[in-house]
Amino acid sequence: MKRFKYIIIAFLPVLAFLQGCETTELENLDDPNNLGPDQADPALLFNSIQTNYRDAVTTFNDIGGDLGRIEYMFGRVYRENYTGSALNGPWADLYSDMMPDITTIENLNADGSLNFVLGASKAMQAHIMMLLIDYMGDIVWTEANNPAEFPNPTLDDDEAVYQAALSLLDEAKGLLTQDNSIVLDMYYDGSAEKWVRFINTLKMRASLTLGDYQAVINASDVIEADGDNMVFEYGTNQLEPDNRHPDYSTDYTASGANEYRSNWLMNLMLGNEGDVLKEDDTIPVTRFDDPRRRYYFYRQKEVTPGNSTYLFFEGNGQFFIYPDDLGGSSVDAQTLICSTQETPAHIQFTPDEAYWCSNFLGYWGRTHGNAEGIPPDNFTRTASGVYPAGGRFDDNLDWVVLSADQSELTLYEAGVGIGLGAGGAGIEPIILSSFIEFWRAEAYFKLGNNSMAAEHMMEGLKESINYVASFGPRDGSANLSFAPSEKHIEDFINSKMDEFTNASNSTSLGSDGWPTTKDKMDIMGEQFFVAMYGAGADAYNFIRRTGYPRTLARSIEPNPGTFPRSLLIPASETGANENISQKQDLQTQVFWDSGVTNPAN
Amino acid sequence: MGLPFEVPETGGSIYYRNGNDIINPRWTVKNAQNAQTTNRVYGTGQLTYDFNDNLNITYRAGLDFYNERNHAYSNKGGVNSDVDLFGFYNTWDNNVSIWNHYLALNGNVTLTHDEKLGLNFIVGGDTRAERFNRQGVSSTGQIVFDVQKHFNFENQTPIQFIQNRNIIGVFGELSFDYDNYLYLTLSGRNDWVSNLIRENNSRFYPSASVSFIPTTAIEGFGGSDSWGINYLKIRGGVGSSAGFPEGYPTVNSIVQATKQDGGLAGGSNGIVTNSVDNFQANPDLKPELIQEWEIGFDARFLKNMVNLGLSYYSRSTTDLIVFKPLPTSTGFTQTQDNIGKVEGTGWEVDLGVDIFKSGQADGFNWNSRVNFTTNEQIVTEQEDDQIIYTGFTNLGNAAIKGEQLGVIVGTRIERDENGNKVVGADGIYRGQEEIAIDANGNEVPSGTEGSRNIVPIIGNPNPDYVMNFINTLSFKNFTLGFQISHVKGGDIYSQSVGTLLGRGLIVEDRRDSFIVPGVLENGEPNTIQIDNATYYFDNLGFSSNQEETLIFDASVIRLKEVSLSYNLPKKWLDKTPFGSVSFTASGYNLWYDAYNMPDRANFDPNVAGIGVGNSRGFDFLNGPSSKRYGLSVKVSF
Repeated sequence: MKRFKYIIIAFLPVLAFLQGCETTELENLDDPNNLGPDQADPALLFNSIQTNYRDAVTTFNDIGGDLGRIEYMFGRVYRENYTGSALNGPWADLYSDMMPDITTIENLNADGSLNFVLGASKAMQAHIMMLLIDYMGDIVWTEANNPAEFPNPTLDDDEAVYQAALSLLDEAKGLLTQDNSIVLDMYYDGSAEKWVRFINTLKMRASLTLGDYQAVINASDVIEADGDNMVFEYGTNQLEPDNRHPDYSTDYTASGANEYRSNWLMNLMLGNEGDVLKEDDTIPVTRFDDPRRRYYFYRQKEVTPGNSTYLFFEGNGQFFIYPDDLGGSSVDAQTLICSTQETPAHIQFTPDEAYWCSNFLGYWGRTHGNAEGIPPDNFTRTASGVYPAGGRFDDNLDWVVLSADQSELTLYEAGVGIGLGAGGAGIEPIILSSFIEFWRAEAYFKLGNNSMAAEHMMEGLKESINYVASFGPRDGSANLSFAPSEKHIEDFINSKMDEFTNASNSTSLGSDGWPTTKDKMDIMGEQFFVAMYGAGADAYNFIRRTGYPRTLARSIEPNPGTFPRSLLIPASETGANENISQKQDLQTQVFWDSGVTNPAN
Repeated sequence: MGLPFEVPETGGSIYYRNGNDIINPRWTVKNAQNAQTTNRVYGTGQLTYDFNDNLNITYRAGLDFYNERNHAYSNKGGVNSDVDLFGFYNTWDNNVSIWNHYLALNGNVTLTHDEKLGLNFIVGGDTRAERFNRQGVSSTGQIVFDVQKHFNFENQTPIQFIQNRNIIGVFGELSFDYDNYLYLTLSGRNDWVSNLIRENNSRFYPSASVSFIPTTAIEGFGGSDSWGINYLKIRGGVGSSAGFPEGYPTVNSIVQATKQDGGLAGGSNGIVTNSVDNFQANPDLKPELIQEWEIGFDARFLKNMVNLGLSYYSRSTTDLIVFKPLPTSTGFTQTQDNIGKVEGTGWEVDLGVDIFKSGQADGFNWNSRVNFTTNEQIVTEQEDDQIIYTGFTNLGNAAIKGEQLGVIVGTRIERDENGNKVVGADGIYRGQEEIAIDANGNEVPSGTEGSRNIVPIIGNPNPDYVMNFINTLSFKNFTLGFQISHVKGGDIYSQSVGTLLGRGLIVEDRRDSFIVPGVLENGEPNTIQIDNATYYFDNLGFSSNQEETLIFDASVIRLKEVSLSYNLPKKWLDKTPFGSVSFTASGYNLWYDAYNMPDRANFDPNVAGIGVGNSRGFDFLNGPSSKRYGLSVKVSF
């Protein structure tokens, strides 16, 4: 027994000694849960830069679309909608995600083999910088990303940083001399030529913002063809990762759609008869409907409460109004409370009255500034369509069908659901070739050349409609016979161009604040906004730069506050930075903003 | 509650909403679960070698090892988010082992011939090795309903996390005692930690304490028979201790993520991304030092029927280690840093009274004890205007110079120059995200020279005081104990109460209309009438622009514990191998009243909603607290 005791006694210190070496180790500093700073792979850093760029641009598209009435803005008062957290995302995407990664790539680029990656990254960085300045005004630049020297960076003058961004674009162009087929390039598949076109387009955009119209017209080697479009393509995978278009993930769920479309946009694109026009020659044409409407929007219900649609009676082949001509009423307090309410006083007798609550032909959305709760309308409201969200193509008839013996009424069999339509394989449009044409049209107009302005506006319409129509086949189960015919597209473009040509250069406002008739910039602005569906970032710039279109929807709230000229500094920055304090209001003007007001705001 | 909650064909959730977009809680109870099984082994082994009567050397090794096996799952068929719709199953083990090695030389010496002055000394060192290793698998995409195994899921991603730390210390202590009434202890210790750089990884912290027992020192003073002071001890001390950071705060790293959304180009397997970590390395990080001095006394009066203890202490912490948010434009969002100095004082009072004391062994005894603690820690030195060390960028606990540590900051109702609340054009309050304060903590207009910009302070979660009232009554072999606690003061941000109010569930009269008190933007008094739903929903319950409306005073009186125990009489156990047997029935948290919170909410401020961390005073829609009942048997052999 004694020996046993001694063996244990001898064993314990040996055990302690062996274990002890590890327990007395000091300076164990490296984090085993991440890679060390010299283990970064530049191709994988480039992946991160591309996804951060996409996230930042998506936020600007959403905010710009909301302010421009292209999308639906929730919330009655501008100041409460756009608080300090509005731009937290893009600010972090630029400063704490993209720029440190770009610096790391630069440090690894001693031999120039990473020039393509560096050039493309700097182009994306410059675009985000310019968007941040457009939306915010002064931003941090010279003191950024240098925490050792500047732990509390100060803001730089917005005009100076804009110039710095343009120099960055020149630097990027110089690096993009050779294609690269090795890294994953989610935008241009490794083509240096296309990146250079994108850079030239960004410079053209900057010229337009700064008012240098001659430079806009002279710009060459910019995005002209569909293949040069700057877009991010999404996929159809649902889990790990979910790589579907974000609007698709929100709208095409098992519980119905969760976003609202903008009533102003749907009303603008609707025309006054829909497809009934093609069937019934006796109906006079006042407005052609936009051939893109079946791609942008997907209707789930045939009629919106408080409004009506057509009814086709098989008995005599004529059209009637449903449900009014059957003696019914579509008013439904449960699914759309405004259908039972009186029009708000400030909207009465204005064009807003047509769509402040509901639209014709079953287009069910909301108007600007509506902040009500959510009724059970997830399977009845209008959802996003195949463009750009990769949803369903709207192959619903524009009427309901009553059988000859008046016994059977055929309504819509429509609804969203997981995996339907294109499955989420849509795009986030960033800059399209049609936008370039509208920029040229605006520049020519400002220089007084109306005929060239009309020519480019027509080109813009054509390119936009053709691009959108190319999305139809993405929805494999759709009935593409509902796609607009060549004739329809031609008629629409011609009618719009006639309207433009016949409009005067400027018209006055009536006593209700609406233009007595639309002038050229109203029409061009409206069509530009329609083309920018899904990519509304530049809509906010357009409103502030030109004060048009004056026919935008007014807010449902009579006192929404002054329309923002710029947004607040991100709260994540002001909360931690001693040298930057928050702005007092949303009225600071960006350096290029002359302060021209839009009567719609 | 009697309606079905499961879809018969798929087992998915079904609820009252037309679009089925809220999950049915009964479905969650049946189809989702978080569980943990913990196995723990701990023990120490000690070797002592006596050199002689006065000197020995001791080695002690201790091991605490536990494994937490966790699993969390939800069956497919929930609503809304991807993980609910498609189901998920996560299993992970947390392996934690803590090794302690202790080696010390103990001795005692008599320093004077009359043997009145003695000295005990200890000199030694110890090490503490903490190893945390988490490994597991996260699966998504359930294939067959209600089978929770990884082979039944389509996608797997890893769960892995490792954190190790070593702390090595050497210490020495000298304890002097004079004639059993005067004691003096001096000690010093130096610790080194493994996750800081060599120049900053050590901290020395000494302490000293003295106590004097007058009742032993002075003849005739004290003693058990007198009706005056039976026992008195006066004590005082100065102490310090160190705190060390966790993790690896001194190095920069690159974060790699797999299966990221790469759109169409990235494909269904996603892409791998590398990105510079947003956590900034801080090689200058030092251990924190806590220093405290304390004086107090313990006394017994009235034939030992009354016990009174009192302490007053002042504590100051320098180089407090917190997670500090950084301006995003520096390229980093967070770092671990030492911040300034936090100082404060506190009181602790403990009074015990034997209300009834029976001379017989099984007579009626009633002992009642009250203890009272209060403490206030104020940030006295800090370079940054404000450090929101836990929470969000606009709602959290903050360190602001001149204020108590941990004040709640968040958006508040906008005030004009005269302090009136500002009402917007829609009849509800407007929010304010940032204010400026001067050096004394008074509010000044934004942009004033020398002012500090902070997110507004909307509450203080630190209570004014905490009191406990503990009673033990015994008669024959029964013992009844009950404990009541009172926490006074302390604010809580409660989303539970906000939701109950905002949805109209606890509002007295839903027909009331309101004109909120305040002024409009132009300075005139508010006259806009709003309805009940707008007041409670938009203005109060769900308004993130003015989080101030969800701050409530969390004072609470609670019946903390009631227990009744029965000791089996000794004579029954004579012939059994048992020494003593007792049965105890107890109930915990049986009643509480948060008297300053809205009446019908029945909210318990004690819900542990934020997990482990430095957060205090937040409730983000937690479940209710629980009463617990138990029965225990204690047997000794």
